[in-house]
Amino acid sequence: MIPSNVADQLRRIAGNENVFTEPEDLTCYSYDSTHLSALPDVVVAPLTTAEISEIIKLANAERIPVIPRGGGTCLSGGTIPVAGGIVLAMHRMNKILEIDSDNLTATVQPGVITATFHQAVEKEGLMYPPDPQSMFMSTMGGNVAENAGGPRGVKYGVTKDYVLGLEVVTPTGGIMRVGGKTIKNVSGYDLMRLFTGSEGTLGVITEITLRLVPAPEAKRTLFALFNTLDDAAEAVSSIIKNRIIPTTLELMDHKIMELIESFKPVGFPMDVEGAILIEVDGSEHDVNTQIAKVADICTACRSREVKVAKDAAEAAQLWAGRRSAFGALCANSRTVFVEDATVPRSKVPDIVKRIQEIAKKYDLVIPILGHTGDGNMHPNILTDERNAEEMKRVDAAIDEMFEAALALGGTLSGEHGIGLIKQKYMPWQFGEEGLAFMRSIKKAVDPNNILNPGKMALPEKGE
Amino acid sequence: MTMKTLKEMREESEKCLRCGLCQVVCPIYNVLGSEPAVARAKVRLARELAGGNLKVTPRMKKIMSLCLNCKACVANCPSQVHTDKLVLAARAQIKDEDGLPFLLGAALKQFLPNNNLQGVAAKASYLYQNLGLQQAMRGCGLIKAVSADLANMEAVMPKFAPRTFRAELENMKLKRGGKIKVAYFLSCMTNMVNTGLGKAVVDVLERHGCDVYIPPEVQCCGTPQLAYGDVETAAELAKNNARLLAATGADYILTDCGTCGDMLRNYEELVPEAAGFTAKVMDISEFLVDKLGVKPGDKPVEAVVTYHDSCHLNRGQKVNSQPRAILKAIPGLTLKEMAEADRCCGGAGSFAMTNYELSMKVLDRKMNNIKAVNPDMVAAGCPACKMQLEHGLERHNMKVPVVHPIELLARTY
Repeated sequence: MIPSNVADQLRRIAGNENVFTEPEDLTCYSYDSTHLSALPDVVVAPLTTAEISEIIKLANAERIPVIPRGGGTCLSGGTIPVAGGIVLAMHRMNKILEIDSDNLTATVQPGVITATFHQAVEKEGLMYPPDPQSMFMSTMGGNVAENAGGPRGVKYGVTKDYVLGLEVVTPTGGIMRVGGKTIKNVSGYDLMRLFTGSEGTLGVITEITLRLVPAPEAKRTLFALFNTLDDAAEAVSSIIKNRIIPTTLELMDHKIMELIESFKPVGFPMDVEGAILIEVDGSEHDVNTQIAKVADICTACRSREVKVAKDAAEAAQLWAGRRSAFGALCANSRTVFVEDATVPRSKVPDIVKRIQEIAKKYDLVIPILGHTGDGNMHPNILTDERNAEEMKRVDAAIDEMFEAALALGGTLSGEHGIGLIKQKYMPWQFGEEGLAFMRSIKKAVDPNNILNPGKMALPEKGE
Repeated sequence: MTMKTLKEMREESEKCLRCGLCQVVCPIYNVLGSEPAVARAKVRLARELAGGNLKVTPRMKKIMSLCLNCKACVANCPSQVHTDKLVLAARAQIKDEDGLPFLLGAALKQFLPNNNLQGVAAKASYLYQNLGLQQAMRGCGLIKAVSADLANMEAVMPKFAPRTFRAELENMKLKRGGKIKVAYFLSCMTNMVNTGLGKAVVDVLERHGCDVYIPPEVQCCGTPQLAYGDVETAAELAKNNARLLAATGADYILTDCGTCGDMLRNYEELVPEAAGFTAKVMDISEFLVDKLGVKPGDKPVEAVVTYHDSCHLNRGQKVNSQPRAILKAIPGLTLKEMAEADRCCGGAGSFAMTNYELSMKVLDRKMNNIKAVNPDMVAAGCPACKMQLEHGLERHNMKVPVVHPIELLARTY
């Protein structure tokens, strides 16, 4: 519990109507998209950087945790207030401050919804490439804090590849600007990269300057069907090996296509074990050359049928199927664990095989789909959290999946982050030395362990 | 009574996977941006209320009141969680524990279900609006001084008819000898405000070879009562209406109001006596297009019209193509679609009165979409939307009438 006068002080800082202490409000900020939850002590919705700075200073004086929160679509438990404290609800800081068409940059407040930003940028004939599947509800601040990815990551990378400058409130309440509008910037430590993906543990992001790219002239979609999932996975690796970088390269197994067809049919065939959905973009000429090469590679990998969408409508229909995958999973299962173990791209066939073996070993339904062009797998475990016995098998299966990904030279997370859920695997990836290094950074900048404590395997209070 | 209590709906609330997709479509969340505003949060609160972890408090009441029941969240939910029903069940529990404010209770229990009182009130309101009283009251600011809420209610108040449709019906001779027997459920709004719509419906149906029956004792459909958690009164009305409408022996029970139609179609969930009743209920546009084939007259209606999908007609009853088919069939009329035609206008019955500022922000988005089309008129299949849209158009200084597709169809004869 926090001292009773804290809420009053927060009201003084942010205004009466922007501070919430009633159990109903606290409940609403206790969860994200995971199955975990914990109640904060108070919720405050600030409007300015100065307000946040004051809030953080107050939190330091009173030793109260502060958890920044955007759209609450986190898939790692990163915004759950496990140690109670103050939730900073960022929805009022939702302005696009500038789209600079001369420099191809944009500056936004953290509460801007990602898709809203996309639309604004596209109006100018530009593109902001990171496109997390949650982009219609996730915020730009959340994307930066979690270093969000998305299907276009194959060609365009993830959020960290676009952050040029940040304004940050430090864990002790200072206000700091790093980077700016320059494309080249090698002064000092790369703090942009440090904050991007810091999951709210090192600072509160209050303003973001991003790099934009010209919107591509053309795009085309190809859909290839395979009799075995192994062949489909091999095609993924082979495309990259042949030095073609599609915009998007998605792998789907039989199970996920079956679920999609029973949910919102788009005409996926039911008699194939695997399929890949590919989009290429660029100039009209490049796109046609690339799509022809991709088709050849798929055929060489024993593809049963290669279908190139003849127009935008046909392409849209194929992508509609992929996009409804999450809905299809939800419609068929009480609990869905969306994992995102990631491997080097040449290892896609290996991790696909391992996931299949693990599913069999633990008798679990794990449809496979993923942004496999960048090695980012999404094995989705369909389960029921009320079934304690099955949950044990789920836990063991997840352990084994991450073990496999790391053994293949991969990583624990391609785009969801560590948060609460993957803490226990952190020593596997970083070792004690690596973790100690991270902990010393955290301790140096956040001596009172104020910002989002209990996440990312960083030390707890009093540790 | 068969409507599920919140406790019985606990399972439904546990289906939510908290993905947040409801944020994309929730009109209230779009304005407020805070988590309690969105469906996901209401589902969670309903779950905690059902489980006894949270109680009925003023804050709980407030949050549960911030729902238009537009069902956009349900349509967009991967797990198909019925947030609309959870919110109604939560409101029922709130009403059971806390009761209703006196005036609201009186309106729901005494006024709306009483056809005679409706007649008196409509007349009084008509006189208020037409003897210069309304202008005087608005001008002197007295209402605002008494209560801002009251002023808002007064501002959204529709223009009442001099005589209710029920009163006019006494002198109307309904034709007999048609091939199809239909019962026409008269909505409160058609009765008190849009009497012209009532006449158009009867006229159109008769021209399509129908014998129209309008049982005089049929009362309010029960939606306002259910929306405020008064399940008992809603059930009573449902039982009574279902009995009277079924007793006409009609093959079809027709509505001209998206909300009433949606309610009638859900009577079976409310009262077992309505078993088999629901299958006969149809929106008039659905009936004309799907059952008979719409037959417009020769007189053209030269105008550009844009169509607003009422939530209860579109997502509630899945009727969206038929009203458009009627508009397209009208000679001279051009249908020009607005963006987000299916997005809620923010009316939601009395929501616009009780949450005026918020409702106006939801409405502004609709107005901007209408402005972009620049139509001669707006068509809508629900009188509650009509009232809200008219208020919005006036606020935005647009002289664009809001009409029911059936009224436009009637103009062709």
